[in-house]
Amino acid sequence: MVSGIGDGPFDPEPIENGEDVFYRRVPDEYVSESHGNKLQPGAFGRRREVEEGVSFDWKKYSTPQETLGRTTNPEVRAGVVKTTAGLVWDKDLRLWHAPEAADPATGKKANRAHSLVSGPNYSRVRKTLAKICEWEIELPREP
Amino acid sequence: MTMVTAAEINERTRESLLADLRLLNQSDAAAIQLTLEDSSQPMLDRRIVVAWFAEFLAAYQELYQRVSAYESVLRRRMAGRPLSEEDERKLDDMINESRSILQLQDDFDGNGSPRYSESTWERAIRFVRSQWEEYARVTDAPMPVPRISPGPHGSIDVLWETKEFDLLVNIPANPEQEAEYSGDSNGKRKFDGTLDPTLPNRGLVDWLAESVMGPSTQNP
Repeated sequence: MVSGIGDGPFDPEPIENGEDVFYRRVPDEYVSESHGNKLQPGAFGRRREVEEGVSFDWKKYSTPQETLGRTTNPEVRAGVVKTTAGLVWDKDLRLWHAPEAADPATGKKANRAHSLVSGPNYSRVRKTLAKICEWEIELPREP
Repeated sequence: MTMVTAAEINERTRESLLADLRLLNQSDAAAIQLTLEDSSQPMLDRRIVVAWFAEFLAAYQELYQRVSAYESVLRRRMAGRPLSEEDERKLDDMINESRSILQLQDDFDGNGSPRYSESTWERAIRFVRSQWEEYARVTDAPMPVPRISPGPHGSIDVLWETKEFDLLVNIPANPEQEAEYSGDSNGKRKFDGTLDPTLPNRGLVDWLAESVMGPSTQNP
């Protein structure tokens, strides 16, 4: 299902259901393959230092495959992990919907599913997310 | 009570020494037979005692300054740790393994992340080694070996993780910035903050030691 079609802008929506699922693309360099594909905290970096939180895609507007495709380099080996709003809230982290409109000037594509997770300390957020996320699309084997 | 300045003490000491030399010149030095009484005579001269004390104080202050300057070197020597070669090898292996971070190129993750600089990696390694030495000094035991992995925006993550605790320290790409840390022990004790990654951090080491071995296992 591809339900986030359009260039936006989109209105942010409240996230109210603890069972709502959120996806994130994870490249291989942030995975400890010698420890059963264990996620490293580096997998949850902010895209820009000024960004308020760690990006996820809300399942309501994205499929795991769409999340996997949101990259500047499709050659990089990557998988997709997921978590739920309830797990995020249980760890005292904040989660909110932050849809992105397309920007023709920069060529940036719209992402209606875009959501952010933040907390009192960026390292705590990353460390916590590494624990509460699990694989949705496993990392493909090395060629 | 009469106050005596350092300059006066020096002048008096000089005069006293000159008087002694004049005495020696007047007689055959080899013929002088020193008795116990002669040896202890200077101790009865308050001027000499004060001069000696002033000299001792000046020497002590100079030594103190030197010791302060070489504190880190002395700490390593004092540690004199009986860590086994295997302990050291585990640390070295982890450090060598982490060098692969430096092979990553710009946009290695498809998210536009920059490559990692050698200087950032070296700061991360120095941080780990200085905590390792402090831990050994405080506990007489080897520190758990952390994992060093790529962090966001050219920063490097240092992660200790066991069933009992975890601690993440992020060494930033900018050497002017402090390192951010976040720790949890048994899911109960939490601590977050920033630290200077160029120094051994006693608080961090104490926390690590308590998480690994429990309280009251540390040297003063």
